[in-house]
Order: sequence, then C-alpha cells, then structure tokens
Amino acid sequence: MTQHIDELAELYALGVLDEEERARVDAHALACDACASRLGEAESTIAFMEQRAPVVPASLDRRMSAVFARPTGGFRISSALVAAAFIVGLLPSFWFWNSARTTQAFDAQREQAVHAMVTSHFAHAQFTPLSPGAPKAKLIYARTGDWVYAVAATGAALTLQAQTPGGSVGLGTLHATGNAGELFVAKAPHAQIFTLSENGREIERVTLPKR
Amino acid sequence: MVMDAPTSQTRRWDSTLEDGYREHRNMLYGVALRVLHDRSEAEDCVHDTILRLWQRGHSYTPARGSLGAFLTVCVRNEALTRLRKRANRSRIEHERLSADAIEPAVDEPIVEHVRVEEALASLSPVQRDTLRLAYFGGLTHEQIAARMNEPVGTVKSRLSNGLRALRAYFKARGEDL
Repeated sequence: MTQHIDELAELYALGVLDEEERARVDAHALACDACASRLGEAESTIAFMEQRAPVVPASLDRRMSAVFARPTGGFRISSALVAAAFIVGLLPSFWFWNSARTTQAFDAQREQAVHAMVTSHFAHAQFTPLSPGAPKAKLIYARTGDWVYAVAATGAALTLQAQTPGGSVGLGTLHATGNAGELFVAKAPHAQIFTLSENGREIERVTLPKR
Repeated sequence: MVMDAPTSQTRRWDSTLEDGYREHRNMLYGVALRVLHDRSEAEDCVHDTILRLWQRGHSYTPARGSLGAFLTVCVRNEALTRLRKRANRSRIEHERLSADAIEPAVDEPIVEHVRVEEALASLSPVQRDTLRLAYFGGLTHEQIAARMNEPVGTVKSRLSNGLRALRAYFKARGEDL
C-alpha cells in the first residue's frame, strides 16, 4: 500500500476491516511512521475502551481470605472510604470516625463497603428530608449490583428501608459513631425508593434512577 | 503483507512479544471472551493471535505506540473475524449481529461500558448509532452501510471521525490514552 492509510487507521482499530485490508494497513504502518502513529492512537483509544478490572488469581483470593479472617488491629482510616465520604459530602462527620473505637463487626462491615466500592461501579444520591431537622444523608449504591451503603450525618439510630412493590423491607439500623451513621447492605432489593426512619417514622427518602 | 524482521530484531521481537503477552494476558483474554462469549474459543483466539505474530514476524513498530493497545486490537480483530465466520457458517446472523443486539451482552461489573456510553453520548445521534454498530455490534463497515442504508464512504468517515471524537473526549477528561 503506497497511499497513506488515513481513516483506515480508525476502521482497523474498530475491527470493521477484513483480514486482507488489515494486512495492507499493517504493512503500510511498518514503513510509514506518521500512519503508524495515527494507527497507534486509534488502537490506544480502543484499548482504553476495552479496559477491564484485572482478573484476580484464585491464589490471591485465598491469601486475602486468610488476611480477612484475622482479627483487625483496630480501625485504620481507609483512603477509599475517605474518598467515598468526600464524594458524598460528609467528610467533616467522617473525620470523627477515626477517633472512635469501633467493634470488630463494624470494621468487617466497613471492609465490605470498601471492597464493594473499589471493585464495582457505584453512584450516590441524596436523601430528601421529609421533616424539619432531618440529617444530611446519602445512599451510595452499585449501578449494576445489589449493594447499597447508607451514610448519614447523625449519630441517631436511623433505620433503612427499601420500598418494593411488595411493601417496605427493613434493611437494618445505621451503626452510629460520634455524629455519623452508616449501614452497608450487601444484598438489597432492587428497589428504586429507599427511606430512612427514626423511631418508626419515615424522615427522609431517596429515589434512585432505574438500575 | 507483513514483513519478517531481520534475525537480531526477530530475537528482540520475540522477547517483546512474550513480555507483552505476559503483561497484558488478562486484558487480551477478557477482550476475546467478551466478543466470543465462549471460554474455550476465547483461549484459542488469544493463542492463535499471539502464535501468528510469533511465527509470521512482527507487524508492530514503536511508532505505533503502546504494545498493549496493539495486541488488544489484534486479538479483538481476530475475535471479530471468528464471530463473523461463525455467523456465516451457520448461515444465520449471530445474535450479536442482529438488529436487537447492539447492546453489550456482558454480565460483569461494567464500569467500562458506562465510561464508553458516556463518551458515546457526546456524539451526534447518527455518529453514535454508527459507532455502536461497529463497537458493540461487531459489524463490518459494509454491513453497517447496508443496515443504515448509507453509502460505504459515509459510514467509513463517520466511524473514523467518531473514534477520533471519542479519543478527544477521553483526553479532555484527563484520561491517559
């Protein structure tokens, strides 16, 4: 091929050319740095679009399971969780968690939340207060999964519910530490509406986009 | 035609290819699997692609940039070729080539598809539809032209400009391409 490949660079990378056309593009790119560069840009765009989470080998999973089976050495603030708290605008409240003593179960739940956030794509939505003085709260949720993670700027014992066609499903009580509360639910119903209640009274709710 | 490299360069290419495969093997297998939806065939696809590059000489030049991107596109192209041959063999269009199947049929955490969809949303509707048929649908430019009832040249320009626009979109957001 003596002519420059021009738009064939992008067509090659997109995979719409047949084998013969691809071979001609390859041959030309070997002899023409300008076309090789354009081809490389198109390829790196496709490679970027194809990026996936790496396949973690089973051996690492086994080693990590052994780590998680050990008692924790006390709460250490997680940069991922700080990032999540920052995202939802609760960093000042979150700060107090660092100085608080937490139970092992609480740490385990927090580890679950961190793991869920760093291994899947998530979004967040703010709860809308239904009564005056309702605390600022958000729901972090998996876009393509079951988990939800409620965080609230209050130490009050709030409960989280999913509003399903079959009725309200209680998901648990937020664990309160200082002036912050959190609840991670690994398997939540695929509901669009979630509510927070205090003493049995609904105080705020959030409607998620369809997942 | 792909040229064979001189002996000394061939030795370097062998080493480069082996290192490249080891570094990117998860990515390469994942790309093949997402196109073919068959673990055994995906494995064959990666194997045969690398074997061909190994045996027939190199078609990679440093001017092309990332070796990982080069290998990714090589494997993806081989997977798409296999998908099309499979469809031809059965004389029916494969489900991923059907009009209703341009959505990615992937059941894994799809961070990447959200990222791609967001980028596609920045394009004009006709450019977006054309790219979707190519990227998600696995159609050739002739098949896309027939499907959209457009001249092949129009489709080729649209695909080329569309992919360049996606690159600009990602780079404007600070992505390291």
